[in-house]
Amino acid sequence: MNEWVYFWLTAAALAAALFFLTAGVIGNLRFDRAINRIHAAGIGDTMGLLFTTVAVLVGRDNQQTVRVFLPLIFLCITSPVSSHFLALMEFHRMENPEEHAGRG
Amino acid sequence: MKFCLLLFCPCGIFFIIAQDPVFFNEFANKFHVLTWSNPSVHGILFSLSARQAGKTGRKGERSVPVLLLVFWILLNGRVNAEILLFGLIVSALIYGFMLRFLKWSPRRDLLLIRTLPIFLVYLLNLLWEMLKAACTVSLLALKPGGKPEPKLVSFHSGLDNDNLNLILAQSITLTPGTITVKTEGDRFLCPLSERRICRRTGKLFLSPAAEEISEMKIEDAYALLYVVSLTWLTLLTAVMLVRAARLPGVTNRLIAVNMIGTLVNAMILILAALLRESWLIDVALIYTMISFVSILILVRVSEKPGTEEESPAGETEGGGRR
Repeated sequence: MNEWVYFWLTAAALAAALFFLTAGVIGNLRFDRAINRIHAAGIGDTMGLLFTTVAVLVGRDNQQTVRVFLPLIFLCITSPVSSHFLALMEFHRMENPEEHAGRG
Repeated sequence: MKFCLLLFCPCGIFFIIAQDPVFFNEFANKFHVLTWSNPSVHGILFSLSARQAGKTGRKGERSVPVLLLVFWILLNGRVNAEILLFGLIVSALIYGFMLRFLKWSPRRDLLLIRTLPIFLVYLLNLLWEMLKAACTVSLLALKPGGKPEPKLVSFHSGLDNDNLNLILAQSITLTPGTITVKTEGDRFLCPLSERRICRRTGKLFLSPAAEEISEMKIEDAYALLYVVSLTWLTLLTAVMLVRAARLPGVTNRLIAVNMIGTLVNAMILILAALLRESWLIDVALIYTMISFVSILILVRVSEKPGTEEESPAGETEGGGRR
């Protein structure tokens, strides 16, 4: 019976991962500006992959060790940098960045 | 072991270089963060910066050799004397390379060891904030109705240390809903949205295999679970592929390509669990690096000509207006 507990944990983690990844894709479909779409991508980058990693780690009798976390760590390091550059590019492309300037 | 050695050197150098403040133009403690005018996201941002400032203080630094060694052990997946010895030697070599060519100083590296507990607490904090922000933005994405408007917010982080500001900028970008656009001085600029998140949509994605598996063998149940997840991810990837082909503008397409990278990464991880092949993890690792480097290069290539020369002037101009 114990193994079914692990199975349900895996299923729950995978469901959470798929939820966040799906939310990212739906956000990409529904948001209307490139700048908003970057945020949607951020959900999948962090939470989606985190829960996938947890699911793989919890899953039954795999030979995986903590190195499963390496892709996640890498993505957590690289995705802010690439998001930063994408946002900066879009920022330069906007004709009037001051229009969007909010309170400081 | 040999394979790990081959993988380790490029990964290690990459791992450190990706964290280098050089990636941010003239990094300083004035931040421009792109976020939405969504109050909840805003709150996350400020609580994050306050906690960061309060807890890490000005002592937080990185410790490259220790990081490299930890990375090596993670890559090998186990610890014994041989692996530890090789790890020490290779880490020392890479660290020497970085001291020689990348202008690192060993003096700072001693500091992280002292601040490691604080840093771990900060990581847990960050994880929690990431979870909250991801839920918020997911609900925003799934909620029927209007589209959020981007906003730029700028604020002073109050930190006078480049590395701390880098960590803060990375954390803010890592939290869904906020992206650090520019940094100068210690202000942040972020986009937020006019929409408020008032209630939950109540529509959650459920595992399609929920009912049938109660009578199954556990192997079949796992296989079904993984295959269903893979199928779903494939569908998502196909959607993003269509988006990448049809959306106008380079930025939109790059975002779609970035998203495909994340989805493929998740697929590789699930595949590793399904096939019980642990080397697929390394494939995922290399895939992450390739997609990161390709995005960076594509961003550089597709920037308007002359942007690079003008950007420092543009930044100071923007700062003057604010």
